[in-house]
Amino acid sequence: MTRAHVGVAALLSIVVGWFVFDAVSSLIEFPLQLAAAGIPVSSVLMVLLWAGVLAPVLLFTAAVGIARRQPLPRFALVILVALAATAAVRISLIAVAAGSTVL
Amino acid sequence: MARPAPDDDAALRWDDVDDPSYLDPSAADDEPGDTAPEAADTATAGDAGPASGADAAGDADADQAAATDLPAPGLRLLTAVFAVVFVLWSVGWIISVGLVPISGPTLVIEVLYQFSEFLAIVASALWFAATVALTPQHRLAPRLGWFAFGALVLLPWPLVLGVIG
Repeated sequence: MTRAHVGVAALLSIVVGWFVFDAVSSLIEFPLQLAAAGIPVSSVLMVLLWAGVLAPVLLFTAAVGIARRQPLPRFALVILVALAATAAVRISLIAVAAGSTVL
Repeated sequence: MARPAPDDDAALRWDDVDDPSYLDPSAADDEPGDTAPEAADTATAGDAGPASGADAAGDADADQAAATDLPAPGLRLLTAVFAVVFVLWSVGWIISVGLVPISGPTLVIEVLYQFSEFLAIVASALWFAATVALTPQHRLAPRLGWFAFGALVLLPWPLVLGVIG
């Protein structure tokens, strides 16, 4: 990896950091809100919330590992794909978690 | 050009030195341009064995390279099928972000949420482009695997759950 690769990875890791921060916030706040409303917190919900924390890190790490020997444009494309996939997985987890809470 | 010595039979030959098409026969042997093809022919003839072997090897390498550049059978069909799948996924995500209303408490978080929704919509197109760009076109399995994995990861669950529910 060149310095440019590291720079691109560092720049885009800020977005990953925000995804992790948002997921950790949900992991802490959502069970408290449910408990305050008298709704029991299921283990499925906790798995989904933890998946929301781990998914950005795993996808970003996998993308860097897969594309570390690629030219810079392809490296940046793979990192962007990982970020976009993280966003899609996050919304999917929110939808499934909302469904599991209703159920 | 050196003028040849006077010759009584000069009028009987087509070698007038004043003719623009005249070629000096004595200088013809010294012309490098005339000898070069002969030398090349000689060299080719003398090196016929090893040269033909090297050429054959080069041709074999070229053929192999050309063969590896050829797309695998069914690759275009596979790519076209998954192009349709990923277009459908993109449409599904456009509908899905409307089904999951996420709003942030502050303007910054709201902008970040909107950005993440935009990323979710373009995720399928980016995955397709990255798979086509990074997987070799002469092998079917890696491209099929990455397409299938992407289709699974990027499945628009909000829409699927909305349809199921």
